[in-house]
Amino acid sequence: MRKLLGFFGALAMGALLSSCMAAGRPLITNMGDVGPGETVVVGKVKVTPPLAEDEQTLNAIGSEGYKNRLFLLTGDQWRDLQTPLSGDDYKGHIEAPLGHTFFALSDAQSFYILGGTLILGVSNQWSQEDIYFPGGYKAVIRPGDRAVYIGTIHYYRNEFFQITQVVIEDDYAEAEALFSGRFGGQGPLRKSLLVPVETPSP
Amino acid sequence: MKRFAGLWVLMSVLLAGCGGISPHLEDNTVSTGCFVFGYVDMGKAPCNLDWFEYKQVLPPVKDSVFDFRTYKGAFYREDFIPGSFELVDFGGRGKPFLIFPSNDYYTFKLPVQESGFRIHQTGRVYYVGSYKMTSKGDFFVQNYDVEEIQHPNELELLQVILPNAQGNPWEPLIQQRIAQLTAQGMTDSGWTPR
Repeated sequence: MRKLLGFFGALAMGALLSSCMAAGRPLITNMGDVGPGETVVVGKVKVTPPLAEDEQTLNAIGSEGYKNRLFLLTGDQWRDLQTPLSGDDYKGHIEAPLGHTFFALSDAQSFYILGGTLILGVSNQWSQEDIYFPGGYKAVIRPGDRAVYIGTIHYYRNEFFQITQVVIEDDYAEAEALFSGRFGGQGPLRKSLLVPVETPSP
Repeated sequence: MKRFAGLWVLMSVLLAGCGGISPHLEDNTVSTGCFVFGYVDMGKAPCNLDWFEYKQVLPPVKDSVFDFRTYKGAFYREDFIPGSFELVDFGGRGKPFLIFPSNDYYTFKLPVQESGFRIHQTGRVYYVGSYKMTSKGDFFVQNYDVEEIQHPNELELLQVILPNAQGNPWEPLIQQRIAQLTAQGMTDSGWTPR
């Protein structure tokens, strides 16, 4: 009976996770998916030291898809995120595979990186453990941009998973090669590295 | 009748086993470890403090989650090696309703990025703070939080724990720390555990 309850708990937690999040920017593989007024945002997120193999405990059914994924939370306007996050905070998120370049379909307008979150653990007993990452950057998109490279957001952490440093790195050559390989030179991929936001002091 | 009495003894042992490890300091770790302690006021919580778990982050170990000893809201342990640790979760069996014992067990998790502490030297007494549970929910939705409190302070808390260190090599070090805090002007406000 206990096992059965655990199974339904895991199932419900997995369903809850996927239903709570507002829709994100889809990751694409084909430039044909890019409509008028849309652009492809190209970038990467890295965490140093990287996640250990067993660092995430994703036990709810359907939660294994969150392994090595960081949700970059975005907004049309800058605002401070309040934790715990609400489902609406995920609206327009980018589901970035850690250490890999992402290609996200986006409206061709500038947006802000408000922060990030990573699901460290999900159990079948309705509990979830999240790690939060700081934001504070603007992705500048110009009208007519078909593809924009925003850089690598490199988070450094200590042993308590507190973020000690954030560096925006320029890996354009690597991203451009991947972009050309994937989309067959349907560029150009314009470089527009993330710009720090002047945030009001608390 | 004797059979039932035996069952009760067994049940008591089992239930005591659920409640965590002994409150009495048992290990001679003065030369190899540290004594770490803190307090949670469970007055607003639906349970008492029966267990408190922490995780050893550095140096990494395979089975990294361990139990503190608990006693009247205090949590403490005498064998912390130098390294980095996180407070993970705490909880206990639900408080009884009138004469009816509770069958519910509650666990409260602490936020991962905010509950770490580092231990640098052996033979030291480390205080990680006093906290209380606050209830922000209502009859239908239970919602709890933890906030830091001034009392018990380090001195008051050590006096609560001291009887459990009787005869252990940590006893004189705890007494020494009490004397040191008193000399520094820390006072006992008359706080008593629930």
